[in-house]
Amino acid sequence: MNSNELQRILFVEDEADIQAVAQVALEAVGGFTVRICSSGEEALRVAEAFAPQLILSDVMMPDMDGPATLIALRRLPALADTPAIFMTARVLPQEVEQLRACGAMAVIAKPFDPMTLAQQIKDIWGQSHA
Amino acid sequence: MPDESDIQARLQALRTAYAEQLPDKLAEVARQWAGMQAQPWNPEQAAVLHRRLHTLAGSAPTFGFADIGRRARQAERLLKAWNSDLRKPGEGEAAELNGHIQALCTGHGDLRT
Repeated sequence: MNSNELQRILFVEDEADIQAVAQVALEAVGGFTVRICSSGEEALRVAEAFAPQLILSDVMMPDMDGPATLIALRRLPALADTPAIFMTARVLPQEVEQLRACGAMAVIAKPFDPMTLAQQIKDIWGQSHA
Repeated sequence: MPDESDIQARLQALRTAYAEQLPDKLAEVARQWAGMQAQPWNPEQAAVLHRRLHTLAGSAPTFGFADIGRRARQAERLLKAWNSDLRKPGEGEAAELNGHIQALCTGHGDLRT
């Protein structure tokens, strides 16, 4: 496998419905290895051991939201530079810019198409690792 | 990678499960909004309702319920503006949100089929 090829994704999402459909979209359709976390706290517990190549996170979550989760993950030395993508139903341009300012390389709009989500992520990954 | 028909079958099963749960999710939105109207404005409850609507806006279309997603998005934007200002909505604004929530929660009796 090419060392630049995306394989391991840490997916942070509190909604069980979205977890389930994203699992199909990312694992079955995309062929990725995915660790699903239901909260930012869970992500912090498992992130170092899972060693993701990409963090994919919802934004609006109770307690610890997506940006707070990303900031906390960035404090872990092993994840200080791990690329991140936010997924959100917020799509106003200024909101997207705020999320990028938090350190995400891209923002994917919800709702997403489960058949094309993985390709969308591969395209973003390819652009940043060309 | 599983074949296309297997993936489609898994997605269809998820759509069916979502459709079965959707009436309860919508009823919970209506219940919470009714409760909020009967009490002094509570920003914490408004934030919870905002999150519910935001989740519906982001998830319902993925499972084939585009209209519900659109309505939820409209309602969410109203609540978000009020939450940003930490203020109680005026009568006209509350009526507008009421209209969105009524539209969300009626006319979907066939979702369980």
